[in-house]
Amino acid sequence: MSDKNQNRFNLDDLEKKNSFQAPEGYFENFNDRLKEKLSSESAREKPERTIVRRLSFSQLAIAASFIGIMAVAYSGVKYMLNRQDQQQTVQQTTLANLSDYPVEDIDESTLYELYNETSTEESSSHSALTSQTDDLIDYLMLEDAEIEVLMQQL
Amino acid sequence: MPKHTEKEIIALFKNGHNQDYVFNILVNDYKERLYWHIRKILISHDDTDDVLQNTFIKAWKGLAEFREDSNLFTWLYRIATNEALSFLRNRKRASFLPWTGVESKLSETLESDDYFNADEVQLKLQKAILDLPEKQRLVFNMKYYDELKYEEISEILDTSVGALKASYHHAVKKIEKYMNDN
Repeated sequence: MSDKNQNRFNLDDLEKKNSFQAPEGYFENFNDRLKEKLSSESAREKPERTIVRRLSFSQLAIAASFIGIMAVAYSGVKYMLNRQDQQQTVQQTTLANLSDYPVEDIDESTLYELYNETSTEESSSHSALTSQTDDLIDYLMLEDAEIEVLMQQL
Repeated sequence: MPKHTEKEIIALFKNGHNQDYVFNILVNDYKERLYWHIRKILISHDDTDDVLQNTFIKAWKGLAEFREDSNLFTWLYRIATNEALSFLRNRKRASFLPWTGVESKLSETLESDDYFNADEVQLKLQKAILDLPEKQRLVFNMKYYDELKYEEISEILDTSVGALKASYHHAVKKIEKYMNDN
């Protein structure tokens, strides 16, 4: 039993040595070869990088999100403004064009058609329309038109 | 042993000192230690040369981002280890070899390598080491040959000291068993 133990390999009993070798002069020349490789790699990497390539993925993601949010916000605001403008324009245009017709000759259905026609037209000047609308209202008041009926149609 | 302290090298680099000079200091101080570390993983001198160059190129390019609270030596060791393991994995993928196939290839390289000079016992020891699982092989080489502290190995391999001690213990047992059985 003790003989068996004596023949057993024990790492602590083995002399520690490095059996690997490097070629002669390898470490002396290493720096020069490394510099050569480094400069050839740098030359390969030299082509100008675009702005997008210079940005990291996270930077690109942030930029894309920002642009997305701005686009949605801009569309929303633009839509709201257009809608408001259109509502104002239709009302103003309809009322303004009514002044061209003698009120006593207008029946309710003609007024309704007139409204449908004019609602698609665009007003060119906001301030001019406002004054025309005021004129029209004055005129209607003078002619004692059925303003309530008119308003219902509108 | 390095001729300059890590702090000196980092300070020279960050103070914009002559880059060529700093690069030479860094390479001269660490090339031999890193060479032997990589060589024990890859066995072949030519492969080791490639990986050592890549290690320094990566380290040089990343030195600006090096955090001074970590250890330059363990940081370089970690780059070298990762580069060597990636090299082996790429080779395995390229040759469609299973991991054991790569190990037996390394064993063949060992015997045919012009730059390996060992007696019968040392050759058998190297074969026993190559027979170990990858992680145990790394831990064994770093502890037994490079005589690194467990704390340093822990930083390099990102593994707890306890796990490293267990790995080393198992590795020694397996090597002794291999040496006795073969």
